[in-house]
Amino acid sequence: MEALELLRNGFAVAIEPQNLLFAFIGCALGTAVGVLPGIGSAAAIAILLPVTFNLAPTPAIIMLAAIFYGTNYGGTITSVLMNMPGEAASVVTCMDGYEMAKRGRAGAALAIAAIGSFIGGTVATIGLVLSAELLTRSALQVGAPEYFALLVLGMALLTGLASKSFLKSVMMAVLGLLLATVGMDPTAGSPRFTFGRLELLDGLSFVPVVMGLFGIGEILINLEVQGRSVFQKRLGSLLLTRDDIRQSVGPITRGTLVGFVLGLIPGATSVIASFLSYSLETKVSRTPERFGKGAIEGVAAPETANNSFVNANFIPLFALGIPGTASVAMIMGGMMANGLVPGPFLYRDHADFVWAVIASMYIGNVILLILNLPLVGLWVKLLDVPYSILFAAILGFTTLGAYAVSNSPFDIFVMLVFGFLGYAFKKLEFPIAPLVLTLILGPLMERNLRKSLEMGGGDFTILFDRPLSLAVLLIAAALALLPLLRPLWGRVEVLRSGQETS
Amino acid sequence: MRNPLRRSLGLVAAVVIAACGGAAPAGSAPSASVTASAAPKAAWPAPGKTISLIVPYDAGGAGDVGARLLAPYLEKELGTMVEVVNKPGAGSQIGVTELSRAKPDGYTIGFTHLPATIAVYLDPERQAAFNRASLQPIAMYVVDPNAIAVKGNSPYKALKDLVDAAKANPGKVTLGDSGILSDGHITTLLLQEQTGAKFAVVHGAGGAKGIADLLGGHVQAQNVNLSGSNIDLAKSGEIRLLGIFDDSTNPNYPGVTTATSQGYKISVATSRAISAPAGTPKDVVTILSNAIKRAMAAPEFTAKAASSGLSLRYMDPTQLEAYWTDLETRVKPLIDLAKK
Amino acid sequence: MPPGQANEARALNTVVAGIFIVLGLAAAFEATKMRYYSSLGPGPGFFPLWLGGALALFSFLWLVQIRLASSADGTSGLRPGRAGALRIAAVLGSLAFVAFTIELIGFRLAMFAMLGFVLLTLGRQRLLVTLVVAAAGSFGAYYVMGGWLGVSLPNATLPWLADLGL
Repeated sequence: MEALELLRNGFAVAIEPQNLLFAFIGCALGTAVGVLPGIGSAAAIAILLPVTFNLAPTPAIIMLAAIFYGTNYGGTITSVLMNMPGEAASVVTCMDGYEMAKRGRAGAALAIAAIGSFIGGTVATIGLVLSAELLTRSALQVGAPEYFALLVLGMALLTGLASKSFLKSVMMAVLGLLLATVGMDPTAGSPRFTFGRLELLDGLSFVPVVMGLFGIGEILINLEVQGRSVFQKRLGSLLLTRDDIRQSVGPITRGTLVGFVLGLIPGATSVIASFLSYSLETKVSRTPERFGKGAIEGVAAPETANNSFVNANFIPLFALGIPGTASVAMIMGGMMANGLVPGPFLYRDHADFVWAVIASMYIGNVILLILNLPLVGLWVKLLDVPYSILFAAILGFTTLGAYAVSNSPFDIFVMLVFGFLGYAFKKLEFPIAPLVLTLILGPLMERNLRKSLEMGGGDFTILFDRPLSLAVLLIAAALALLPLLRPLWGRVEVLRSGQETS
Repeated sequence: MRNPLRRSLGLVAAVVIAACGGAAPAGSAPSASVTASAAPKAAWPAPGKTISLIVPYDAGGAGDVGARLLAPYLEKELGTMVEVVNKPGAGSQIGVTELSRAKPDGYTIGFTHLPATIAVYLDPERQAAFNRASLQPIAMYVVDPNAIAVKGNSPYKALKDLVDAAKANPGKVTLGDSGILSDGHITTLLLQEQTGAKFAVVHGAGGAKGIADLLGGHVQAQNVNLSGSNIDLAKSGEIRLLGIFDDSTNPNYPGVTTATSQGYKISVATSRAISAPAGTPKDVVTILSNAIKRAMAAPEFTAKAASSGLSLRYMDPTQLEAYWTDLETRVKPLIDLAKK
Repeated sequence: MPPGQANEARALNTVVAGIFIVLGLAAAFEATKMRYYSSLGPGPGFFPLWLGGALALFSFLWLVQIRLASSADGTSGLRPGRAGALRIAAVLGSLAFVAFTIELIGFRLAMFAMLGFVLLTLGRQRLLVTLVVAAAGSFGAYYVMGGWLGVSLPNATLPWLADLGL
């Protein structure tokens, strides 16, 4: 196959020492950026862009791409070890990853995250090689109505996140949606609930909110009672048991698919990918009550989805020049500054460059696996630092991060407020996950609903006229109603078999 | 309690360390950088003092790459450091507000994107803390004209086809743009005003998504700009531009005529101007503007800008003022219309 | 759970439910001031109105659930002791301190003060450890971010501090 031939040539270029070096630098930097809260890959790429102007295009783009998909690896580390999401997308990993760490299984969490990420990223890159254009054109079928339907599906998956009290989960979901309305509304740009504050015109900034809910909230809980030991002693070996691997196969597979599909849709973000993947796992699992208490599936799936998403994001870029996220848009900028315009002619005019970058994405994923897996032991050692010092480091980190998101002290306040809320919710046994999920999905849902109505002239039927969005909505309805129908079905079965229910 | 004592010790230690460590970084130029007219003009910018270039969008967002591309060349021309500072939020409102509040000594300048900035201060609901008078325009950097594009296999071949279709089916022909009161939206409103046609206006969220919507068939026509990957998309036939809303045609799009030549007198572009807070001394403004002009003319820079797809168009303060006023006059009556 | 604690938990839960209800109603009320329906679909006020109402409703249901339950659902130790509350206030206060001062006295001083305070009082560390960690987290972070990553953190704007180079 011609593609494989070109890929082979690409590998030959990608393993040239200079390109390898820059791939390595990119991976290392990406991991570092991921660890640092508040600085996302988009910012890092933007800052390093001028540096790349002095480099040849191939090593430059190899490095920038490596930063992009490398950040996910770094974000996992702080999520697992400190309940602090270094990247928006790593929020989901906090939920089970940190619980695993508290039970002495931090090593396993980090290991499965690295492995899952590697698999997800590699599979996505294979997709890039095999059928970039076909995939992109298929993904283009997703317009605002389909996206809205997909988000509704995400909300339907919420029912899997329900904890002990269904009522409390619903309250949190509604609260999340209400908080999501803060800011300018998508209809007319009117400010909602902004209390005259400029900084709220864009809504509540996501990263400070989750750093508060998870990171600061956790610190407050731990400080409240003196002498509480936070982390259990490490359990035996830090590697994965056979059970772990067995349990992770399904989640990794599903995570790869979810991340891959979402990565093709321009405008989707990796947070959505990891959240949907996590929610899907809770629905699919036969023992959903283990989630939130250190279930390894809760780490394997979102981490895989994350990485699969990020690598799949390159597909629309290379095929048609459509950047799906801000970071990819920056990489596109870098390419264009070097005279390489992503679009229909890229493969034709600059084949060697394209295939070299694609080949280096494989290599990058390998590098990241090699970089991160052995380092797991080192990271876990961090937990040996006495909490009375560690908590201060976490405080410093989160404060820096909250500020750095938008260079705004207001975000530190936001983090503060949500830190207190995170603490309060935990004490009152309110589940935080539904809140975070609806906070992410809410604004997107309203915007896409609005856009769909604009497309349909104010008519809601546009959502049902289009086959794809109708199909997704039906699935969502089925998923939402299923838990309600099951007990009914059980009763029917019992009646049929002639037995009396007591 | 021992703590207050420890804390004071800590603070003293901090000040001592800071004083020592502070010797190196930012220069200690006396705050008399902006003085009365007695100071010689050549003293600006004072050596060692950094100029902050505010970008009111995210790192990597609109205009950020262009700013970071310009900064090193501007440094060369001014002989001092130019630092890009991102102050994103609220469609540039946060960054521009900060710019308008900065000390008018020329050491803080920033990007004011048009028509976005105009939309911000003219829209009463935004409660902007600044207006036209709070800003001093310095130079125009990039002007990217607007155009309407359709998918390659669309039956529309010229603007007239689109307008006729809209007149035949009012409110049914979808025309996208990148947001309320964006340059694309303004074009749509003006087109509707001039022709009496009524489109189904679809507000998207930016260039790439707009193209995706167009290629996916979700909108029948889309307001686009001329730079970037659209060039290749047009060349390959994926999209077709019906008309350019500018005074002249563009060599990257052979065969596409201006809207004016097709009978629609509309000229709209998205542009990036560099401004300073009002009150910045006139000679400082001149120095800055000339430095920007020379930086933009540097051959190395022009090459990079061209391949990045930036359509450079320099304007000096007077020309920029005129452009700004003209745009503002045209946008003002549209604000209420846009909000329906 | 001893009945005294159970009653306290119930009372606290009731208050929280009340807060939620008020929040929901307030949001819904604010929403009525906005446009309910625009020409093409739900306007700015549509969703906040319904969501606020829903929040109030569900919170009310929860309130009913609390009052009807004979025993509180395992929310033990709900109220932090005085020492615990002080510690929490200290953390939140130090965050507020940084937020207020970071652009006044600069990142380095603000963080140094915050970390120093937190380590001394809450972490109960010795002075040496405190100074080292605080310096690393403030000055160290400043130079690492600025030098390696090109992210500049704020400097002091108060003139006498700025002249010191902070």
